[in-house]
Amino acid sequence: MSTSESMMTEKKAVAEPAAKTPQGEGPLAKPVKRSYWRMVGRQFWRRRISRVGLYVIALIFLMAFSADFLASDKPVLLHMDGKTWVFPNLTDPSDLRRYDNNTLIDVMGPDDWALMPLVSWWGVNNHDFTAILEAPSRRHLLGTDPSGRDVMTRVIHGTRVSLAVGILAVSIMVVVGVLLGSLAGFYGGKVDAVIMRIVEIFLCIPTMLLIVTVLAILAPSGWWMVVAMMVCIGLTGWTNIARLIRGEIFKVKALEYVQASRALGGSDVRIILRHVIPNSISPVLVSATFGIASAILLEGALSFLGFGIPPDMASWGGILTAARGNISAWWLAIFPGFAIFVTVTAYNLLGEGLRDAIDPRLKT
Amino acid sequence: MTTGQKGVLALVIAALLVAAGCLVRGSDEDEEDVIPTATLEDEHEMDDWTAGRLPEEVVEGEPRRGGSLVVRMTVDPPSLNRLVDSDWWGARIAELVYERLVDMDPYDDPDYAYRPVLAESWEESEDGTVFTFKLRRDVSWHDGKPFTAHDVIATFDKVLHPETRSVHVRAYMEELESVEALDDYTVRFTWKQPYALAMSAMGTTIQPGHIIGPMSPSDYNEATSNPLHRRPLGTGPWRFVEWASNRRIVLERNDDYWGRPPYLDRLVFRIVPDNTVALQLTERGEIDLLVGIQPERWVDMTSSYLRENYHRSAHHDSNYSWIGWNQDHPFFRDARVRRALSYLIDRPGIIEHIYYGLPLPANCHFYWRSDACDPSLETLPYDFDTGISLMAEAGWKDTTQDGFLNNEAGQPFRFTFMLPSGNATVQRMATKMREDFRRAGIDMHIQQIEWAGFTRRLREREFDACTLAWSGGHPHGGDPTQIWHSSSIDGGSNYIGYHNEEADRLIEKARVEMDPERRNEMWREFGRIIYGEQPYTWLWTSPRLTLIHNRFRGVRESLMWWQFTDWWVADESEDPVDESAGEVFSDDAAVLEERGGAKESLENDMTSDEADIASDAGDVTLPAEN
Repeated sequence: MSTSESMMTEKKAVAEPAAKTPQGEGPLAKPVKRSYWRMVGRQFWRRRISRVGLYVIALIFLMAFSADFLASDKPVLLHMDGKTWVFPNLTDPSDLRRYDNNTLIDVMGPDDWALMPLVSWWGVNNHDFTAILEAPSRRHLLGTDPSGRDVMTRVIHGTRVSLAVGILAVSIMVVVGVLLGSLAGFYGGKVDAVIMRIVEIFLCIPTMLLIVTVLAILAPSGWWMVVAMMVCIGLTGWTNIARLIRGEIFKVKALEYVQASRALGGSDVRIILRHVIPNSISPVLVSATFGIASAILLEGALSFLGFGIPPDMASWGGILTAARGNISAWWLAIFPGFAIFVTVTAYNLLGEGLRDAIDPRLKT
Repeated sequence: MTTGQKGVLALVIAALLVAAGCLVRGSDEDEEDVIPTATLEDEHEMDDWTAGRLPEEVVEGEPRRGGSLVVRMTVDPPSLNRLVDSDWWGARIAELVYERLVDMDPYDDPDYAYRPVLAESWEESEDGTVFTFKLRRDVSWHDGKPFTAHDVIATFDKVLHPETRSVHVRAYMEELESVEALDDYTVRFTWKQPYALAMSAMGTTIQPGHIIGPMSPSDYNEATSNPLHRRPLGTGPWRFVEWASNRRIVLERNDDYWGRPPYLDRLVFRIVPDNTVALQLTERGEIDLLVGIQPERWVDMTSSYLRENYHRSAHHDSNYSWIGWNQDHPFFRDARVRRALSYLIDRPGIIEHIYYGLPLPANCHFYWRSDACDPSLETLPYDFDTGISLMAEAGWKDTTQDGFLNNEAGQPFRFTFMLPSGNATVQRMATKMREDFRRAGIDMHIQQIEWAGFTRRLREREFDACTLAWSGGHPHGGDPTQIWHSSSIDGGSNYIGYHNEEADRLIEKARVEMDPERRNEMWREFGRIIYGEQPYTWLWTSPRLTLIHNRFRGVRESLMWWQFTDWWVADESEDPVDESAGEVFSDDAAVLEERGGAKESLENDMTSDEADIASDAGDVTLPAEN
């Protein structure tokens, strides 16, 4: 269990400051908290399937961050005509604008060399007109779409959109949900009534329709499209989290340590931030993890319907759309579909692992 | 260092090692890449199916009654009142149910002479300003009421009334002074001055006066008070039966038709918005006439069922796709910039690989076969270096060394390209353009907007550049006022805000020039001006790709879409080809010769405001807003 031990330390290292910073004083509270998160961590780690989920997510993140090194239409290093470019795949220098990897090789002399991207030589929006809708081959490892764009490259770069949508949408959900939910739960009464009515209003807004409308009105382009989508998903999805945390807070606020803090003269803000939220946040984490998975699916669905990401950007749902019109091109459905499946499953495993770890009935 | 961290490090090292495997050296020999390129079959080796030609036998045989035809419709139209809504599909239905005083003979290629329909005959005054129509006396409406001059008056009253939503029709009647009924079967039109499109304007579909006559203009506009929006009632060969929203529109043969009634019993317009679903339904034999086929499906149609049971038609009718550069945008005011952009788009590559070589390159506003087009105009090629040097000439160079061209103020050349969402082929063109432009240092962002928002932005000129198609252009040129004249910048279809004094002057002169030769000379001059200025980047003329079930006969391609009235179902077992076979058509031909009068007119539905806006080159026509 050496790996599990090492991860434990890491987990602690991550969990500790979060629990510690707001604490600061009370030498009594500190060990209690740490042991709670340590217990959750151990419980989580004990299940292999949750560990797998975590590994896969880490791998996907790695892929998203190194996408330009894995697949790009420019080399990673290039020495040409006595000049050396470092990371032209990232900097996209103007001198090399008109070339891609394939045309570069044609113009390179005998003394020139280049370090090529790891997996694919094609850019996200490179149209290889000699290979329209080509099945997987050496030239295009996962085949090409109807415009002759490399599916491998687009699957790799598509992770960025999927992860960004998932994580940012859920961050908005959590921030709004926790804020309003804890206010409602802590104060109860009129505040609660007002906030819960707001929740009900937001519950009535169909996310898909809202996104389509917002995209139609604002008509953003490029990454703003992703941002608009994330905000829409976030702003409609927080209601669940608000209700969850409200319920938890109802339970927690009657407990002795809250009373104690109040007796010691703690302000509302202090009680909410230091005692109530940290003790009721765990179900939110679970719900957030599942939220990421469903946000990724929603992005896929929207791109599939043609409302999502602009067509020059890579997204898994976008590749799937092309599959719909070209049923015989199995590679257009299988690979992005598999990517979505793996990511969503990994997040679900993570969420399940967290839920089981937090559930007190399963504690050992 | 923990094991986990070690693992990551190991991964990075492994990655670097593998990357080293990708280290590439330049070679001193020119190695020819062996890339299999798609070779198109020789034109004459193609059979009819591959070439999209209708075989000879589709017009052979003896017409017989019976049978029905299922047509795939791409959208649910906003209404079936074409005088209020200028939707393309609504106009197709109206064309079957209603009739005009005169219309163009659809098969009279290339003359497209006017022939009488509801009018028996007409007289034109010497100066070409007064037209007197004698109406047929044997015509009755589908509800049994007789057709008289009062119906004509009622229709023109509504169209000409400033409060009805008939702007797209009214636009061609600006010179019309009065319409009066001399008696029950005589109508006189008086024009302020001769107008080249007078016949077309007077050939508007006539609606029943006993229904629309008592309505106020606002009642006429709305579906709640005007039954014709949902249930058209005309004099035509087809009678309206039902419209199940988003499902189908059904028409049946009008057995009391004054002329030769159609052979088919029913026409069913089945509303199937999705191209893939429509193709699948066709493969199950549920659709007889399939429109809206994507080019890649067309070239890769391997289904033996389709091959055995359907004919294919790829007809280059009157349409062209374009990219419009908004003249309000400071970057696009310079004609050199617009020309440069046209040079920088790989149109030949897009035609060849994204549209599979189906479209014809376009460079003219008018119908590509008409004399109004100057055949000596050369299509701008894809020429990277010329494009770059033109940009430099116009002051766009990369002085800031950030990879994008910029002007003296340091502004990068960045703009947004607006396209209607949902059309995969247009999307592909846009992504290819983005790549081409990026190479040239131009940063183009793609913005997809659904149709209603798209047309709104178009009207309000809230875009940098956009792409669309005009379809249905008149066989002899027509009147480009609505699209190109500066008076159409607000309210008309001059969406890009193009203004050129010389072009305006030519349009004004040509539209009232009655001599076809002189008028065409003016249109050619006009075409040279706008092509030189490139306010549009002309793209191509797309073929109308259609699958037609091979049990139908009497099927002929025409600029005016399909003439279902002439179609019949062949019965192979008892279908002796004899002399009487061609009779139906020879009748029509006789009428044509008799009538061969004015040639110049504008088909209403093509010049009307939104009717012609197709999101793709004519294959998918989307409904207009409103």
